[in-house]
Amino acid sequence: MWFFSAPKKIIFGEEALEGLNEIEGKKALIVSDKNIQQLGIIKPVISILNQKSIKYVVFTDIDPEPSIPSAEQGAEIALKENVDIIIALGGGSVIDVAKAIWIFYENPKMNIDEVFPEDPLTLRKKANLITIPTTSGTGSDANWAIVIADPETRQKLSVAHRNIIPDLDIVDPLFSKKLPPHLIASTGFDALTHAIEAASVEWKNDFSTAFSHRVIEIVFKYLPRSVKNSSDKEAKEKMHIAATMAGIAFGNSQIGGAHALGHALGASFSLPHSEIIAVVLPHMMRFCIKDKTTEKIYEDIVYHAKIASNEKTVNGIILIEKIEELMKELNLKTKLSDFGITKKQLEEHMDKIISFTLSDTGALVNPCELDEEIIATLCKNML
Amino acid sequence: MVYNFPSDEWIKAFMKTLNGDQGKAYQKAAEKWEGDFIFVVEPDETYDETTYFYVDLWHGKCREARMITDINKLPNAEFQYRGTFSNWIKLMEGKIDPIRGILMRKFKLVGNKAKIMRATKAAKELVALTQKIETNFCNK
Repeated sequence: MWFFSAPKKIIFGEEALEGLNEIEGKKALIVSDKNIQQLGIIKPVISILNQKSIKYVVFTDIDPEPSIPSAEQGAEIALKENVDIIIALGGGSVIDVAKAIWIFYENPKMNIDEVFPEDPLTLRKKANLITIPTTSGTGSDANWAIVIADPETRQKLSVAHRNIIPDLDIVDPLFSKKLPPHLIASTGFDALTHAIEAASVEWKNDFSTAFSHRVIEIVFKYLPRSVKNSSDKEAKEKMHIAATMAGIAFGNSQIGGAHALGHALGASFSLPHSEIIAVVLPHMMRFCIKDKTTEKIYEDIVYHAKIASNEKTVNGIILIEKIEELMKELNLKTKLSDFGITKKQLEEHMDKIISFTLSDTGALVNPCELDEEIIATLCKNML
Repeated sequence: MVYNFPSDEWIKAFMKTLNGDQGKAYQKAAEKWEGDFIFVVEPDETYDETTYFYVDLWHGKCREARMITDINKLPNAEFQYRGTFSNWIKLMEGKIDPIRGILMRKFKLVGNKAKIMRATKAAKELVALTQKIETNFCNK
């Protein structure tokens, strides 16, 4: 027995934002960040709200990494303004904070630690949640998880509940047009990692695998075009949709070891999530491919995602090699030293990295068991 | 030696395994973790009774483990993890993992869930230990 969950409605493709005309309410809380506000990306959303005579308040005081204090601050505004719509307009951090704001707004006395999948969680009594992703990578717009930093340890905590799935997800490539190439590349790799891990972790299933295969095919075909040509509308639209599909894939399966270790390294050295995930992915895959089932899964991906040019060359290792080629083609960071991390710094943080990795749910379901020695070796290989 | 599950002998064998050489992976994973559990085996079509185990875990070791026969003498433990007899078999045979078991609604966890979710490796190793005990399941 398992479950499949996705937003009630996903409106996607060019001009999908017009779907915002469907919403009903009196006052909206727009959760976004300062960069988005400065870029003017927020204007088309406000324009529709004005047309519909829906009042709004904007909250952009979001930390770069989603944090509980940001969410509590947003929830206070939601309470004060008595909003009945929450609109998350941004990347993964914004969407995760908006989800947490929603929880705190509807359950003012609740601690984030009390959110647990099979426990009751009241939502939608006060407001609905609408997500509008502006990056093509997070997938948070389409699933029931929140990744949020523990205020004391800075460890990234995964909180999940099926009620947290947004009511409406608007996936419009309009918002990803202004992204710089390096951000398109790294967030695209985050989507790729979501898809690969969803298809290969212990909780994989036919639904998530179907989404994963299509995502991987799209990434290999359209990510280079999206990075290299800022006016390639088709590529940007495909990548935007692929990121949401990848969110559905891992939301119905799980993330794995690459995310577990990526979260740990990110928290230890304050690294951008998508960039560190890209570094970890091929190393974790080379570790996991020793498992015969995983090797076959990688081989299936190569076949279904049409990655190999010749059927005779279809095998699992090709997938890793193609990923490494793609990283180089897109000028992504490939080593920890590319972030300025030294061997000494890595050793100083190793205990924390190991502890955070092993306590991450991604490690629980990784196809190959992770332990201290393996994590330390992977980290050294990444230097 | 083969131990009947559930029984006091079985939970004592579990404690011995956990504290011994075979428990090293758990001991390492849980070296900073502490908490006590009531594990509840609930009746189903294959098992008639409700059985309670008390297990006190302390920094990678098990300080106490016993079967409780008198429900009025249940200790006030920090956590309770409960499921039917058939689901305990599936868990102990590795067919479901302890967290997935909760998501599948085959087990119910009562207590500070976040504390458990920050120790998933320890939870997995704890379950893996049950596979190291030769067990005879006392179903109908």
